[in-house]
Amino acid sequence: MKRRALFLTAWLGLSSILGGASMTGVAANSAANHQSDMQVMRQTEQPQNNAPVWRRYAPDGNIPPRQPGARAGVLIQASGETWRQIRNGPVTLIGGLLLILVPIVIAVFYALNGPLKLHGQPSGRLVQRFTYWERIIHWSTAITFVVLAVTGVLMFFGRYVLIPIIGYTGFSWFAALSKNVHNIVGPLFIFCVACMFVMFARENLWRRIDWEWVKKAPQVLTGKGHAPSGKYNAAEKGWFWGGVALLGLVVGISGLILDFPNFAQTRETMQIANIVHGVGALLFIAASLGHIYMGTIGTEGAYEAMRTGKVDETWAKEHHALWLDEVKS
Amino acid sequence: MARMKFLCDAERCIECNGCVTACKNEHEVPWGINRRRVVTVNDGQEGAEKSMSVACMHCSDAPCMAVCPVDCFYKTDDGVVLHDKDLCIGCGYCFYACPFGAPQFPASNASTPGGKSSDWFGARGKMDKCTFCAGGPEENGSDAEFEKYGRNRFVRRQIAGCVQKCVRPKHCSVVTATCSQIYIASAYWFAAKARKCGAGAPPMASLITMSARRSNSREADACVDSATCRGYVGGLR
Amino acid sequence: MLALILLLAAGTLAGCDEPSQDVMFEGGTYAGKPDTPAWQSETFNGSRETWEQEIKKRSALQSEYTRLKGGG
Repeated sequence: MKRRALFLTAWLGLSSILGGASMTGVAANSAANHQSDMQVMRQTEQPQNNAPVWRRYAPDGNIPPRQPGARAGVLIQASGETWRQIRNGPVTLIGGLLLILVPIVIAVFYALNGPLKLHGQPSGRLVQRFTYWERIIHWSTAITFVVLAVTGVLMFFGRYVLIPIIGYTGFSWFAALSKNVHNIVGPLFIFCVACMFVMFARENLWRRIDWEWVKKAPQVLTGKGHAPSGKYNAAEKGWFWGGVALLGLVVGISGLILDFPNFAQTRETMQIANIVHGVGALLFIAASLGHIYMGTIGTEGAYEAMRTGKVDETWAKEHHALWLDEVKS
Repeated sequence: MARMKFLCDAERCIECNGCVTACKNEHEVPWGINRRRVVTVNDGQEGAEKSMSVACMHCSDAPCMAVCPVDCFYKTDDGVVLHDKDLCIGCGYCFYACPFGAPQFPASNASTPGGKSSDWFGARGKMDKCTFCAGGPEENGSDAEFEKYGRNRFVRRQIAGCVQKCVRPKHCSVVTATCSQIYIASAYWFAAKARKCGAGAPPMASLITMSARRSNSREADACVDSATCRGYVGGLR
Repeated sequence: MLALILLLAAGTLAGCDEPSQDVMFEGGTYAGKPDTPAWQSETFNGSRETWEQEIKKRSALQSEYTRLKGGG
């Protein structure tokens, strides 16, 4: 009852303050004059009642600044609260869920199916699959990616996971290291991704034959069948375009906005960039787990291909028949 | 239990910036940082010009505290939100989240007189904000505390510097409430939190009740009530 | 094994919530992060009441009304 009375009192007094929306430009000027007229009227009717003035203090209302600083004239910056709720709410929860569930799904898949084995006997004849530079670019990207993923996840979830274990001081040390490493390795990663895009894009162009792979995907993934494909199959192309190219671009641009706050970005820009970066990076990491699995323990011979650049002819025939034909012809 | 809140009466603030100067002088804060600032609306319009002094509002539900990745914030018994600069990694998340722009970072090292150009990628050192003149986790009154957080006036039986130096004190600029009452720091504090209650709800009222519920004490309820009755909420009477 | 992993996952996720910001108390005393309160000094001899009185008095001295009356 008491609370209800309080509620009403406060509502009557205050709904008027917060009713006004923030305005900009010319409209704001005329509105400001209107408000000051209102205020003068109000003062005669109800001395000391400032409601018309405070309407301009509504969240994100712009007030001409008297002190230096890009946003010195903003009294209340409301989007910060929105940012906090998105970041601490769905992004943390769904992101955390993703990072826990994806490895579990992969582990279960591995336990049920085991790795994709070669069906035929290795021929002993080796075919060059990746050039020296392709491997350099791939591994530079991979290493910088893992460093960024680990430091990023550490900074994002460390508060919940690591502080209870290693304490505030210990974690602060890790976080400071992570932040600096993340800031420096980030631009390097963008460079690597750009190189990778230039180097791998042509072979990753979508071809009609790739639909065959998509149709037979369940059989191919469980090792029960094969689908003809070029140098890269549909899944690899999906990872390239959706992961490396698209997520790389999204995470890269938002990352640069956050990494270089030297260009007078506003807090609002940074908040959006932060959410985009977080969501993009978490999706990127989840997808990369699939790629890492298929490239290492998931497929026999795949890791050696990227390690040494050479694959066995049988492997090439079973996984990338069309590519082998091209190479041979 | 005392609860510390800043309350600025815009009816009496004359925008002398005394609180800003007092704060800056008291804590010898680095270049580029003003822990307190004065915002003026309707500049030069008779009867409508109002000023208000803003700094950290020591929120009950502090967004900075919620987003800090290293959890370096803490709240004292008096409701003062403090932070530990030894833990701070300077990520700036508190700055994104704060409705009042309270957390600030030193200007680029290179631009300060005698500063080193050792900052990477716009990294600007550790966050600095209003401490209610309550120092920090270092030993009370020590040099280390002064260097990191500014003067600890509480330990010297003094009230916050801005309050002390206000030229039109009491019912005027910045007032500390130390009695067993919460002075609801003016309306705008809650405005930013309005979204939480949904679009339909009258923002302020729900927020006050929410804040009382959140602090989970009967005392808080009573204080909110008294503050409302006295018309402190929103600077309205 | 799977149950254990799921349990661990559930536990970890349960931690991903905004922690409470209420000041921590244990048995009536402050139990948050370590920071010596102002009254834990020689001046106040650990007496919280004394400190609060002092601060209250200081606040009262700020009142222009008292000043005009010559009260302080």
